[in-house]
Amino acid sequence: MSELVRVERVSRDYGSGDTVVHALRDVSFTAGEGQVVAIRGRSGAGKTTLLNVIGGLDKPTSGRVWVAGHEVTAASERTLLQLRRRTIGFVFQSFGLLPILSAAENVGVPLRLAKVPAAEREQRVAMLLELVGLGDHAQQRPYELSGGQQQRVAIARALANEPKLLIADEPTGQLDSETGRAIMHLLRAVVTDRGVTALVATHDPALLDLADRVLTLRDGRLSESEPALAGR
Amino acid sequence: MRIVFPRAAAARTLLVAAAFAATVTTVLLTAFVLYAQLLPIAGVRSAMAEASVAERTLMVTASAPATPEQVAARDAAIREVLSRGLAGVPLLVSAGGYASGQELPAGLAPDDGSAVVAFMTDLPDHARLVDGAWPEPAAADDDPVQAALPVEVAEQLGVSVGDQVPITDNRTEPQPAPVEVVGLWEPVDPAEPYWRLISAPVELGGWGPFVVPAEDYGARYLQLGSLEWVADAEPDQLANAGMSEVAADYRALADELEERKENDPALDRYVRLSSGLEELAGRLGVATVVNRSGMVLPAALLVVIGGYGLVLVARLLAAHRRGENALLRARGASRRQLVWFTIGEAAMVVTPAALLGGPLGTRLVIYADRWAGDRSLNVEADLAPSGWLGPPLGWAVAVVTAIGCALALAVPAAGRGRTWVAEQQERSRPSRASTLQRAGVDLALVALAVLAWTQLRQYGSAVTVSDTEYGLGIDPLLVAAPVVGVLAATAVALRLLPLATRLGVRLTGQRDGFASLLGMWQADRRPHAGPVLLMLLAVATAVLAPAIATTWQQSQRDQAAQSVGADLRVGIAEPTRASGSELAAALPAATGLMPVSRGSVSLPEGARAPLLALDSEAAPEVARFRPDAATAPLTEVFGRLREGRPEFAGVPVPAGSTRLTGRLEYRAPETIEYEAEYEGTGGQIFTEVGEVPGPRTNRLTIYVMTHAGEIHPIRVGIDTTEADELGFQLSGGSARLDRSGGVDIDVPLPPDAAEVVGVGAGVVLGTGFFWGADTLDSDPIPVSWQWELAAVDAAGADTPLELPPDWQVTRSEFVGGPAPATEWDGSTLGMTIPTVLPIQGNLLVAPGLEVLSPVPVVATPDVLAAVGAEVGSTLTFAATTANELPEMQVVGTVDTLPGTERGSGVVADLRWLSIHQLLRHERTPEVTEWWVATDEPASAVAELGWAGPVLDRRAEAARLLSDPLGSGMLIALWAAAATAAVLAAFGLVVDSRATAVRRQRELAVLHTLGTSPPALVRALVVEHAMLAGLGVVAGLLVGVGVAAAMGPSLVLTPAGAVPVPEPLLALSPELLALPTAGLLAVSVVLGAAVARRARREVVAGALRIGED
Repeated sequence: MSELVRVERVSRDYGSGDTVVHALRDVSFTAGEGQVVAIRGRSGAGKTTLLNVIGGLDKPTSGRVWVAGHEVTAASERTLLQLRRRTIGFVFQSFGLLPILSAAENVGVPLRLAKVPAAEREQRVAMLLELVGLGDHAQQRPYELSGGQQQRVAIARALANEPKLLIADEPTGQLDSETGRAIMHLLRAVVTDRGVTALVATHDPALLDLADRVLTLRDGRLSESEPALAGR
Repeated sequence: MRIVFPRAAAARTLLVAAAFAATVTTVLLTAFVLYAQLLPIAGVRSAMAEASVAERTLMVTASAPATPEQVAARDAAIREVLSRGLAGVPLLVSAGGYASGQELPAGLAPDDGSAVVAFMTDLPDHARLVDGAWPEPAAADDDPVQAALPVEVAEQLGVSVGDQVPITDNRTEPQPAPVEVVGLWEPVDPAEPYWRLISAPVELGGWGPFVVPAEDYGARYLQLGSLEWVADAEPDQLANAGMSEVAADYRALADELEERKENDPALDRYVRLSSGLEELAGRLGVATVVNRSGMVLPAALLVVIGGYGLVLVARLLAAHRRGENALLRARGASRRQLVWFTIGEAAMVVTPAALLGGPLGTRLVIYADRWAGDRSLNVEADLAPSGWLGPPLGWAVAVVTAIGCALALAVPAAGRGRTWVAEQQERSRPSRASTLQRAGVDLALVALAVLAWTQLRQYGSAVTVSDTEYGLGIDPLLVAAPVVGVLAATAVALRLLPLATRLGVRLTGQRDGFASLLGMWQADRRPHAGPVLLMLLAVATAVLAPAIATTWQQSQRDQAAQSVGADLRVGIAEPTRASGSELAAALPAATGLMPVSRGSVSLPEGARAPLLALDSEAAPEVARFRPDAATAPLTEVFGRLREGRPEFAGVPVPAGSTRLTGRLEYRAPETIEYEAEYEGTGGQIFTEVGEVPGPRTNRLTIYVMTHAGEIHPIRVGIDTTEADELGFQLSGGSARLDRSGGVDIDVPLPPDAAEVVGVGAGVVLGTGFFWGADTLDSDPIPVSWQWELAAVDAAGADTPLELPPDWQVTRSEFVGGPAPATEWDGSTLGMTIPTVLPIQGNLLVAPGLEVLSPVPVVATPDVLAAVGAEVGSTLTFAATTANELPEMQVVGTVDTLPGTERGSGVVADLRWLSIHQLLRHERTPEVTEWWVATDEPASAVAELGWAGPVLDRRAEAARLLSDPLGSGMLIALWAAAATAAVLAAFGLVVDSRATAVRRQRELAVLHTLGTSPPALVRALVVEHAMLAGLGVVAGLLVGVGVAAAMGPSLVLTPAGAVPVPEPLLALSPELLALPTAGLLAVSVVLGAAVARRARREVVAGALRIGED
């Protein structure tokens, strides 16, 4: 299994002096292709910060990050944009759908950004919505969908450009446990089917058993523990 | 309050913005209402000050009763009636009386006129004693009456202090009664209303007044005397009291006087009240209503814009509070409690507005009035009594506006009972149709606007106070129509808005630019009615206000051009000296001069219309026709007046000729013998043989046409019937022409004489009537005239004027006996009268015309409608003077005719009409005025001795434009436009801020998905530009549309009548572009600011994208 993500001695501090907050402290780990890596920790443990740094949305105070061979921490804004358009897909806790766009249009946004021709775009959008089980809801707007359906749309959008890395920050945080579990199963299935690497931040222990690896963040420090059903 | 204050503190930025908006709106509206209140008063005050004394004072006249006691009783009764005042304004009453039939001694007065002996109360208060003393009552009955005389009259009569003037009352006293002049005086201010007293007999030619003590008047001059009272009120006080009230009180006062004439023995039926005040008050009352109505329009638009700006703030506040309110509701707060929180907060926000609105609004009005400079209405004086706090009206407006602001702030937050989910759904898929649209209110508004427009078009005649006032001091239709028009047009524009945005999405979606598409999506799918509506209303107001202002201004200029007719209209005081070339020399910069003969034609039902005979070639250039006056080009319309004009070749008069000399010969038998036979009662035949004087000539005229086309009749022979001779104008006196003989003439030629076009002669054979004669025999009577004419120039050189033999006797009209035979041989006109029967007639020798076709005329549609004619019709107007008018053919129409009072009339070519009238009636139209196209002022022709009154179009326009009511309204309209722009800019700032806040998370998500910050900025700019552009375009269309539909109808004369010509929409591209571009620029700058902020915040927002 080749390595897709490498995080090397990453620290991220906010503020300075007496009020400095150490969000991440010397964090290092790697993630291979096709893995679901769960990052758990209590609120404020640094999960989102870590994902932002890996996704190129934030710069670490120190340390380096590679994604698919690109050093994210040293990349230009242009390279980061290309990485986010083609290599990384994001799934947010609050879904992050554009309320004025339909489900299909939301899924089509990354394809438009990547300048995918219209015919191919429409085909891929339809396929992705079918993949997440929302083929019949293409024209509905986000608030006309349930929370679970919205998150499915968000996953479809994240997969639109066939990314190698899927970063999901508390993807089930706003969902009930059953819907959350269904979303996690969907993620798991996508990773398995497409060979995508997924970094999933969560503090829901019930969902950790679907992960290949579980990383725990506590006060900005990372430790690794085996998932309950690791190796499946 | 424990919650209200902390809540407010948390949203202090927004609340400060709301307080600022509420205060600005309140101050501006308060200032507007105060200005609207004061402007008509100031305007009326100015009009009252400029009104003539006869218009604004009351005059009571009565005959003098028999005794001084009765005079006192009559005076007391009249003063009692007048003491009621007008609208609470007291009347200052002065009384006087005069005696007529007082003859001055022969030779004293230059015209041997009579004296006016009078008494005038309070004379020393109004006149300055120049010499002597004021008269005292005569000590004894035999003593001469003391009198004081105006110094000017005394000088003319040649009397001075101490002189006794024996005055005879030729109806009562055969012997003269001496009046001793003891004082000479002059008025302190001749313009005072006081001087209406005793003015009538003096204006009628009486000498005086010889002012005597009232006691002496009562004792000696009551018989056939007259009494007068002049009542005057302070014009300013009357203006402040309100013209409607003044008019009503005047009517009441007149009614009371009428009633007392019936019931009070001190008065009789000859007591008469007269004044122009009622008419003046009525006119100014309507003007006030029209003006105030015009002021309410911009104020109403400002209320809409200002209110909407506040609603936007309220929505922003509500959005800001959404989470907080949800939490409070979740914790058990009822909706009612939330409403009270909101109301408390709104009250807090508008309190500064309520407190500052009155004082600041007052100061704003004062500063604005000072800024107006020469056009200042001096409202500071009106506001001074209320001090720095301002008048109660200002406070009332400020408080009401502040309450309105509070409602605007509270209602959006309090009025919604929807759930959180429902709100989210609405944000997601906003309805394309507003609630009002779904209810069809916008369509109802359109119907209402059409109705209002139709009604407004019915203002074909003067608005009357009773029609318009309804106790509000405004005309509801004048106010409501444009406001409803703006709202209706706005509603239509909002209905069309989605179509435009959808089209934008479709067009951008076909290309790959995601940023543009995103911007269009946002524009299409966000609930954007708010800012677009604000932009639309602001642009519409910013366009409408200047459009009405420029339309009003243009209408004043059009009215000035209409009333004057040309740049200058030079009246002619001395027709024989009027000279076009002299006028041209006085006005070297003139580009055109046109002689005009003003007459009139009779229309059915006693109406009349002007008939202007003018130089049809110069008319299109000189006459100030408005471009829309005719459907065809004016050169073409006026060209038709000359089409087919007959060639009329006279005998040219050499240039520079000033006099006409020559000899006239007349030949006719001195006596005519006749033989008449009568049959007597018994069948006997009586034969009467006798002779009667031969025919005499009673009129000799030479017709000279000027270069302008006017035909001057030079009447060289003056009929002197009594002498049985004809008197002639000569250079050094006069001569007589008997039945046979000749006379040398020397008469001045009219200026600019061009050619002699005819000679005329009249003949009278007044022989008796031969009643009952069975036969009458006499020889035919030969008569002849011979002309030898020459033109003489200033140097004395003469040029013979040969009258052509091919001229014809073109007119031969006789009454009496059988028509004589005539012939013309080039110098002699011969005629043979068949019998001795009485005959009288006129002959004209002139260039002959085969056909004298009808004179082409151009008329206004109302004249044609009145006589039931149309283009192509041939008609003959009944003349209003002795002149008969020719048959006329209508060859065109013009909507309005410049230089006429109501814009209606008939126009003919001067040359053609002159020829026609000469040949038909020997009565030619006289040039009464010259119209000039020039930039020079009226003063340039002051030196012309023959010129009468000169009307100056520019001066007239300046006078109309300086009307305080009108110009004040212009200031208000401009202020409204500026205020609308400011309020709209504020609203846009608020909306932009709301957009920035609302979009922050979305932009962060898009950034995370790979949208570059420049693309995000581009999307925002596209969205803003699209919405601003739509708002501006729609606002322009709405503003121009409403201005076009209703603007001209809103322009009325000060008397509330539709101006002539009817106003046309006047749009100034610069004035449209300036506010439009300004608002567009504001919007784009704000859009750019939002985008810049978004770009900055996108990075920060991305840090926590995992959180909501």
